[in-house]
Amino acid sequence: MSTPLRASVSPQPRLRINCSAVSGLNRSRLRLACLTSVLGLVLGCTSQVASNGGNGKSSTNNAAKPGPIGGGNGSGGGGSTTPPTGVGSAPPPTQVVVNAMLDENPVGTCGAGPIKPGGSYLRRLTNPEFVASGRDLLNLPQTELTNVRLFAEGTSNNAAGLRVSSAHAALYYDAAESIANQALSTPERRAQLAPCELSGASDDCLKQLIEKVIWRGFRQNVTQEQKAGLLTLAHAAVNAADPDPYKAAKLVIQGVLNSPFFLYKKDTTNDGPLMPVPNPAWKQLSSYSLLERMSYFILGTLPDEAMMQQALTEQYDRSSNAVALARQMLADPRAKEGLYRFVEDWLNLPKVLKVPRDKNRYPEWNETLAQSMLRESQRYLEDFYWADNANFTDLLTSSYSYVDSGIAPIYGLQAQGAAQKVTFAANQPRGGFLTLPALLTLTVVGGDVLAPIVRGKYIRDTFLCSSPPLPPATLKIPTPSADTNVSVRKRLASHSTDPVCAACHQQLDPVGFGLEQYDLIGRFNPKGFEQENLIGKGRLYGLLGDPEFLGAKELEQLLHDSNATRGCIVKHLQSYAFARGIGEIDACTVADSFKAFEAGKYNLKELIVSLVSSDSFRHITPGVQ
Amino acid sequence: MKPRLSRRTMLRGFGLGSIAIGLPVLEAMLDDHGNALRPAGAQTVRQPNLAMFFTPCGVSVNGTTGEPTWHFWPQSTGAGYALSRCLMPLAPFQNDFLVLQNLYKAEADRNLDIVSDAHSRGHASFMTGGSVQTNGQVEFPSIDHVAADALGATTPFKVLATALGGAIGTPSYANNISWKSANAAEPCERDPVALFRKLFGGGGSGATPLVDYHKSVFDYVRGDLDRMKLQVGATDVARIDEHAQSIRELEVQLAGSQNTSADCKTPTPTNPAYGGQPSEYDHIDGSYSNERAQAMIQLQVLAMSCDLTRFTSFMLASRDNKRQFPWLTGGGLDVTDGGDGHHAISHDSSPNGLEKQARIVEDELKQFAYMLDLMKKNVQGANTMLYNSIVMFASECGQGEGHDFHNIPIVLAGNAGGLLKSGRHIKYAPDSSYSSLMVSILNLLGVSASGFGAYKDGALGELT
Repeated sequence: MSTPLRASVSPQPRLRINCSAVSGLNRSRLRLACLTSVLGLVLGCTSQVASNGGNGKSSTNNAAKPGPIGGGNGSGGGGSTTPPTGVGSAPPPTQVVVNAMLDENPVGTCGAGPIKPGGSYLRRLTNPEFVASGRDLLNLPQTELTNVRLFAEGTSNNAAGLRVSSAHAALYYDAAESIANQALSTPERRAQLAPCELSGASDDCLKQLIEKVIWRGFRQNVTQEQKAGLLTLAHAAVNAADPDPYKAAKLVIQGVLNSPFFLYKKDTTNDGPLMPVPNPAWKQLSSYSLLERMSYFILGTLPDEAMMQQALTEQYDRSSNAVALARQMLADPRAKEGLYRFVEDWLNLPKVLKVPRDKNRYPEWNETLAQSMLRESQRYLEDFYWADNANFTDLLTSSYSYVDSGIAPIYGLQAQGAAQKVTFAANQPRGGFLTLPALLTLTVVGGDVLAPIVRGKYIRDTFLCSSPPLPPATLKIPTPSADTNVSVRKRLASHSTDPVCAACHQQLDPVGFGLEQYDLIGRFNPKGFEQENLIGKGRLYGLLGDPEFLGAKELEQLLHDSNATRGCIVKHLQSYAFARGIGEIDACTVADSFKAFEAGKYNLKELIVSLVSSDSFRHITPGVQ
Repeated sequence: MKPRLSRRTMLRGFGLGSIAIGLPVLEAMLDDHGNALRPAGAQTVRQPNLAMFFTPCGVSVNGTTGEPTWHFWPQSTGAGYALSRCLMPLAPFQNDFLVLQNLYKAEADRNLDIVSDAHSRGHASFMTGGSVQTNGQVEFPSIDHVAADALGATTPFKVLATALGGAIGTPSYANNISWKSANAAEPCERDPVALFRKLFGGGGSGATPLVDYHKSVFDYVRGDLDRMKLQVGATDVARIDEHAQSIRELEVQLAGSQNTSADCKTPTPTNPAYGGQPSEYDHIDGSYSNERAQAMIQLQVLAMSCDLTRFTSFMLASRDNKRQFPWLTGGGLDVTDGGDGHHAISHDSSPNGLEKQARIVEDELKQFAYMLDLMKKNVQGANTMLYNSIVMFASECGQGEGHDFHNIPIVLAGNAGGLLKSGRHIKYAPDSSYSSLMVSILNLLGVSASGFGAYKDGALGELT
C-alpha cells in the first residue's frame, strides 16, 4: 500500500453531510433529515421545552418531510421523564424529548419521484489530484513529487471550497516549474515525451511534445490556437537565449500545468441528439467529460492515453460502455489509491496526525505513534474497500486488525516489527473500526470531558448522516467542569437531565459514552483516570426503538445492520463523486444507489459501478447550481 | 515564486525621510508613489498604514453584576487617565493610543438564523461592517480592501493577511478576517517562515533562474482562461474571472518593491522582554506561542516599512484555537485546562476565572505593545511609523461570557500622521456604533466615506 502523498496540509474541512445549522467551508447542507427543532426552544438552560405528544417510534417507513418540533417524525419514544433542573418552585415534570431522526428508508424518501441530475460547474483539482495528474501525464515516479508544495487546503474535494487565489497561483507556478525540470531531466524521460531532439528547440520537435501533452493534459479536444499559444510560450526561452537547452520544452509543460484546462474538471455536453435524452431539460455529458469524471472518481488521476483514444470511438455516453469502462478502471491497480482518496476524505483519517494531546496525561503521544495508527487504519480498511467481494459495511464489525510494533503497546501486545494480522477473540473489547486507535484518537480534540460529545458527533456525521445543529446563540451554556477528579458522565450530567440540552445532546453523548472505555489514544482503559468501572453503556436515539447498547462492539453492530448507515455511505460516496453536498434533488439517485448497494451485497466497487451508470452521473441539468 | 526585493535600488527622488513635519502642506503633497496625499490640512508626508490586531473571546465581566470588571477598562476617562491592569504593558506608549469604550458591534447580532454561533459572527464582523451569509461568506469586503481599492494601492501586496493557528476545519469566517469580497477571503499566511519567503523571496527549490518566465507563462494562461469562458456557464465565469484576477495580483507582487529606505532591513530576533518563551503546549495545530506571534508581528512591520503593503491584519488567535497558557500559570492558578483553553476560560466568571482572563488579556496586550514598540522605533523622517499609522487592537466580542457585542474592547494606537489625537480614554454614549469607528478610520486614511458595510450614519466623533 503506497503511502498516500501528502503535501504540507493542515486539517481541512471535509465532506460533510449533516444537519448542522453552521455550514462548513462553502458547503451546501443536507436538508433531508434536518430538524429545526432548536428554533422552538425556550431561552435559557433552566427553562422547559414544550412537551410533545410522544409519538413513540422514530421515523420508519414514511416519505414525509421533517415535521415541526416534537410532532410528526420526532423521536419521542424512550425519553425519560425527568423534572428539569431549574430555579423556583417545581414545575410540572416534562418529558425529555430527543429530536433525533434517522432516514432508515432512503428508497421511501425518494417516493415516486424521478432522478434529477445536478448542475454543471468547474471543479478545481484537489491537491492529490494535481500531483497524480502531473505525475501520470509526464510518467514520473511518485517519489519525485513528494516535495511539491501546494496551498494548504485542497485535500477535500468539495468544489465550492476549491478556488485559485494569488497564493495558489504562485504555488502552482512553482510546482509546474519543478515538475517540468524533472520530466526532462534524463534522456529516457525526454525520449518518452518526444521522439526527437528537444534541445535546440526546433519547432518541429516542440510541436511533437505539444501533441503529446496537451490533449491528454486538458482531457478534451484542443484548438490550433492553443497549440500555437504553447509554441509561442516555448519561444520565450529561445528569445531570451536561455542557457538551458531544454528550457523551451520545459515551458511547454509549464504552460499546460498552469492552464485552467488542466486545473479544472469541466463538463462538456453533447449537442444534438446522438442518444435520446430521457428528459428534455437535461444535457448529456460528452464522452471526454464522462471519461474525466470517472477517471478522477475511481483512479484519482487523469485518464491515460489508451482511454482517451477509446473515448473517441467508444462513446462512453452510452451507459453500457460506461459500466465496462468503470470495471476496467476498477481492475487497474491505481484504483486502490483512487478509492482510498474517498475513504480518507470520508473518515478524515489524516487528522490523526494533527490532534494534540496533553503531555501530562498522554506522554506516549507523538508523531511516530500517530503514523502507526494511520498505517494500521489504512491497511485495515483496504480489506473492505478494495478486496474483491468485500462487504464494505463489515469494516464496522470485523474481529481483527494489522498490528505493528508502533501500535502494539496501545493494544497491550508485544512489539512485533512489521504489521501482522491479529485476530481478536469474541470476549475481547476489540474488533471493528470504532475500536481502532486512529478512530478513537482523531475524533477528539480537547480534553476528556469533550470526548463523548465529539466522538458521538463524528459517528453520527460519518455513519448516520444525521446530527444536531450547534446550540442557539441565545442559550446560556455553562462550560463543563474542568475538575478531573469527577467522572466525565457526572460532569456532563445536565446534557441528559435538562430538557433543553437533551433535545440535541442525547443524540451525541450517549453514542460517545459507548466508547468511554477507550482513552484518548485508543487504549482500552475501563477504569479511566477516575478509577471507576466504565462499561460503555450507551443509546442510539433515532434508530427504531432508540436501542440501548453496551460497549463499542454492540454499537458497531447496530450501525452495521441499519439502513440508515447504508444510505449514509451512499450519500457520502455521491457527495464525493459530484464534489458537492447532497441535497433534496438527489433523493432518488440516492434511492437507486441504495438498492444497488443492497443488491451488490454492500460491495463498494459494485456501488461505484452502479453510480457511474446512473443518469445522474451522465447528465447535467443546465442552469442548476 | 521569487519576488524581487532589491535593497540597493536608489531612493526615488529624495524619498520622504528628509522632509520634516510642520512644513506647509504645499511642500508635502505627494508620497513616494506620486499619489496625492490626504485632504488639505494633512500634515503628514506619507499615506498612513492600517494594521488590525484581532483577539478572540472579549474581556471579562463580573458574573454577578454584569458590569465590566476593571481589569481591562480604565476607571477614569479623558487624558492622563490611570491605566488599568491589563493595559499596563502599554504604559510606555500611553500618549500614543486611545481606549474607546461603549462601541457596539451591532452587525454581529444579525443573521443569527444563518449562523447561530456567536463567535463566528463576531469574527466575520470584525472588519467587514457586516455579518455572515450562507455558504461560509460574509456580507461585505473588509476595511483593508475597501481602503486599498479606494486609494488605488500600488504596493506589491494590496493587503497582507496573517494569523496564528491553522485553518482548522471550521467555516472560513472563523479563520479569516480580511475579505476581498463577500465570498473570497484574502489568502492568509499562518507560518512566519512562509510569510518571510512570500515577502522577501529566497529559498525554494533549485537555483534562481536567470530569466523570469512568469509573464510568458501567464500570457498563455490568460489565453486559455478567455477560451474557457466561452465554454462554461454563467456562474463559472465568475470563477474564471477570479482566477484571472489572482494571476494579475501575483504579477504585481512579483514586480517587487522599490523601497530601499534604511528601515527596510532583515528581521531581527524576537524580543524576550515581551515574554515570548516558546510554548511546548500544543493546541489544535501546535502553532501558538508568543515567540511565533512576535515573529509574525515583526514581519508585518517590516512589510509596511518596506512599502510592500500599507494594510495588514493579524489574528493573534481565533476562538477555535483553544489556546493554553502555561507561562501564565502561577500564584496557585493554573491557566491551562487541556481542553477548550481560552474559550472555556472566557466563560468562567468565578473569581479564578476572571483572574485568568485578566492574565490572558494582559498577555495579549503585551504582544500588541511589542508591535507598537517596533513601529515607534521605526523612524520616518521627523516622525515614526507609529505616528504615521493607525493600529487597532480589538476583540471580536465585548465580553466572552455572554457572547455580548456591546462595549467591544478597543485600543486605537498611532496618530494617522497627526490627525488622530491619542492619549485619552474616551467613553462614548452606550451603543455607539462600532462601524462608525470604521468610517472614521477610512476618513483618516484619506478615503471619503460616510458609511461602511451595512452602516450608513457617518463617522465617530472625538477622535481628531
